[in-house]
Amino acid sequence: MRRDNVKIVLGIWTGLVLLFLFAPLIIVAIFSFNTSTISRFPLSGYTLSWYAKLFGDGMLREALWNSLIIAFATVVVSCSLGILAAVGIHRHGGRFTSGLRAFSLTPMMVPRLVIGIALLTFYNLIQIDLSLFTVIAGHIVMTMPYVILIALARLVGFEKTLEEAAWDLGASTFTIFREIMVPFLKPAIIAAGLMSFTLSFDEVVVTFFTTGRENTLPMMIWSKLRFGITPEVNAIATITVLISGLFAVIAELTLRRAQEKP
Amino acid sequence: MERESINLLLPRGISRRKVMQLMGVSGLAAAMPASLRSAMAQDKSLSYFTWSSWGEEPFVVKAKQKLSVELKPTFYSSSDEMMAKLRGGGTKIYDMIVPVQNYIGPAAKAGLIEPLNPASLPNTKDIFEQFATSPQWRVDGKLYGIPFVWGANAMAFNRKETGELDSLGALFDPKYKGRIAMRDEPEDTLAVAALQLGIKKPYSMEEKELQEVKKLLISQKPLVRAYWKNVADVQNMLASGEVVVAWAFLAIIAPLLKAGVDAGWVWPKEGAVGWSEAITPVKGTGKIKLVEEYANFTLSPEYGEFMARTTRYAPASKVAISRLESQLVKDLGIDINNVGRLVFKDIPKDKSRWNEIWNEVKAA
Amino acid sequence: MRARVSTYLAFFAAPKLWLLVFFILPMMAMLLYSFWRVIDYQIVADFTLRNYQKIGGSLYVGVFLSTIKLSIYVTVLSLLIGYPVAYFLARKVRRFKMTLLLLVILPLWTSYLVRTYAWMLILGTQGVVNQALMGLGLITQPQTWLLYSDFAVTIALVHIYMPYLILPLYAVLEKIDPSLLEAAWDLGGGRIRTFLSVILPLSLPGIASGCLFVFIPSMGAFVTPELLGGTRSIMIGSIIAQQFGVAFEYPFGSALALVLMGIIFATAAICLRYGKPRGAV
Repeated sequence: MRRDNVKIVLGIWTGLVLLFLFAPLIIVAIFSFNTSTISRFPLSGYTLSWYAKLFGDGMLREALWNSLIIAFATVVVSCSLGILAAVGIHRHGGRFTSGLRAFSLTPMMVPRLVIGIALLTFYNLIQIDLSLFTVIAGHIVMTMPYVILIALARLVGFEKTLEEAAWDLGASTFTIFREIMVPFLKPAIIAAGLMSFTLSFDEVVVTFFTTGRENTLPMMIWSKLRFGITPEVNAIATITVLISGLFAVIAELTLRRAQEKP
Repeated sequence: MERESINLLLPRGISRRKVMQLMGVSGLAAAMPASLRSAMAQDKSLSYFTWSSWGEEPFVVKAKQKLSVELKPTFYSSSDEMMAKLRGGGTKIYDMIVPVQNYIGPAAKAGLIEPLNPASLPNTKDIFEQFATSPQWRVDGKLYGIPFVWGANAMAFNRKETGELDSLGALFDPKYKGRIAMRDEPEDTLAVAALQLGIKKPYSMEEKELQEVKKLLISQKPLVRAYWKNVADVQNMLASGEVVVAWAFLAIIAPLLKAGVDAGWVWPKEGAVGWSEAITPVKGTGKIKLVEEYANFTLSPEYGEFMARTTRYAPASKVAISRLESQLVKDLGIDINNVGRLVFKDIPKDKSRWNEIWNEVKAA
Repeated sequence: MRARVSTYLAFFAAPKLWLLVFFILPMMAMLLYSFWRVIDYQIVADFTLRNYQKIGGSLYVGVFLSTIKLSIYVTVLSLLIGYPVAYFLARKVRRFKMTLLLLVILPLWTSYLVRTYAWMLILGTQGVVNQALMGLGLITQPQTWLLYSDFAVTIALVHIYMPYLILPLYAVLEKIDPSLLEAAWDLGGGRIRTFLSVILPLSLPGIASGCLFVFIPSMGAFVTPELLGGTRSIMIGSIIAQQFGVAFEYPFGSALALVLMGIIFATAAICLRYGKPRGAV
């Protein structure tokens, strides 16, 4: 078998890009052990005290919990609605949907701050009390366009004949959607889900304006960082990445074991 | 009108009811249960909209121990964010906020805050007179807060590189080209330039003076390494040698000294900018008594000392300061005998114009 | 076609209703504001075009232009760096595909503010890059242009937004039918020709949406530019944010936001129009 030189070059390139993506995180991890609250080289000494402080901080745990609830709810609703809309736009193709497509994508184009303030004003006007629900509603608006675009990009060139054949065989719309569209869209669903989670988990502006008494992790981090207490924040960041990385590995291993079984 | 704030975002002449009718939701609104807050009016919890510094766990624990008050903090990270949230209906959620003095006027005018009863704050007797009687905390004769914390934005420098400094001139000195930091905020930076130009009342500048200020700041630009945004930035810049002289919150000094940086600070002879913060009740809080009780507690020597030691900010209580070691007092960046030299931050007559001038400087 | 109306409803009712309630209605208020004005901390509803006229001034036009320029740099750079990665993940890896994909997205799960601060430590005068270059003897003096410059802002924005470009590209590249590639091979096309005539045209939809995912947030970014841009950091996003603060210039802020939307909308329309696959279909 021939050696795939392209593969090697691309692999090295990907490795370098990953290094670039992780470089700031490595710095963050190093400084989470710094004894001083001031970040500069060389480190003043090593300590685990920021981690100890973190684990004792009930407010922080609550904020993390809130962030996770928001992110998961956002992923579920945003992906379901977004995929539906994308399949719809795709099916009904033609001129009529291009306006619709643009319409669905507008939330992406508005600065977050404006979305946040507009939502706040609106909630107040119709007397909805601010809560985690109002935050989630805002996050869904913010992430749905991403889901739609990813799904649409995948759907372009999708063989309509397959779908039409299914129609002729008398399959219902729902069956076609479940049996043909969803499997075909799986990579797009994974990508869109990851992206919605990411966008939601790190969002601070829309969250700030739509939350009631609840803090989220990014809100805590922002308000701490403005006043310079960094090592603790670095510790939070390091733990987040480690835990999510661990989950990723477990998920991958489980998936593979499932596939290997006959 | 128990909730005037709702009307703030609507133009004059359009009542809220009319809007609700237009939107067809008046029935929906009527069917909604009254907000949780009035139902909880009897409990001892306070919804506290604040900077992270004053809502950290130790402060929550302290409030529980001392007053059996349950603090429920929600954090903001800039005064503008605080204002925007309250304007948009945040008054329904929160009981108290911690504004800076220059936001009191606009917040009171917009009907976002409620006055306090001075008689409910006996600890005021321990507070430095300059803060206890400050007109900026009063609007139309009503009191909106007695500051528990204060500070100065002034000049910080790396003593090893610059020696002792005493004049604002250092921030405009070509000798330090590329090693100067200024703050990215119009109320601070335009005021500094005005003080350098000998303008005594920066916050009531006329257009002609504003133009001079703009010219000075544009000519200073090539000397400046960066306009800093967050306290952490300027602290790290001084620590890592990125800059040697900076206009900064003096709250950065104590951590810098602790990290072994030979940091000096001075209130320049031309003047420095002062700020103070206090507990202020939010309009329509059903718990004004409890807010007053907490506000009074923040003025106590115990709170002041605790705050100074945990956050490195300066208490406004004389008794609290007398309990601190003199070295610590000095490291907090305060010079209590010279408070008269501070120009306290204010909202300029034409705030939009100030923003615009600052944008023009940055875009130049 | 059968059941056109009912399937239409099934697909669109929920997403459209959601956007209508939580987006269109709130945004209508902003549209109205942009024609009103503020007097003494109160919004007054008399129709005026003053806010839009103000944007025509040289200050705001200049800031819009520099924001667009920076966003284009960031987008092009992200595409050049990200495309090979997406290609590798989609077509060259079989094992650990998910893990690698996650690795690309994982850095985004820490606050971008935290990551922005890390760049200060990497690019600073005493930072990692300067230390390394001096250690290798490539430079004798620390380079100060690395930090507090357009360079720093561009690098940090590419870092923040590039993964958003890799994901949609991955989803599109992954579906390209291998038989198409074999056909191209059999027709005697070289690697480069196959890429240019088959893969690239087929991946255009992914390129289009990926570029939008970078370009749009770059246009609105201001926190990172403020922190890393030194004195040359003004972006339209920070001017918009300013208007919603104590100055209470909601009408002007809304007008600015709408003009920004207009620019982005035009760009998006172009991207999506040219983002149709062509050539080998």
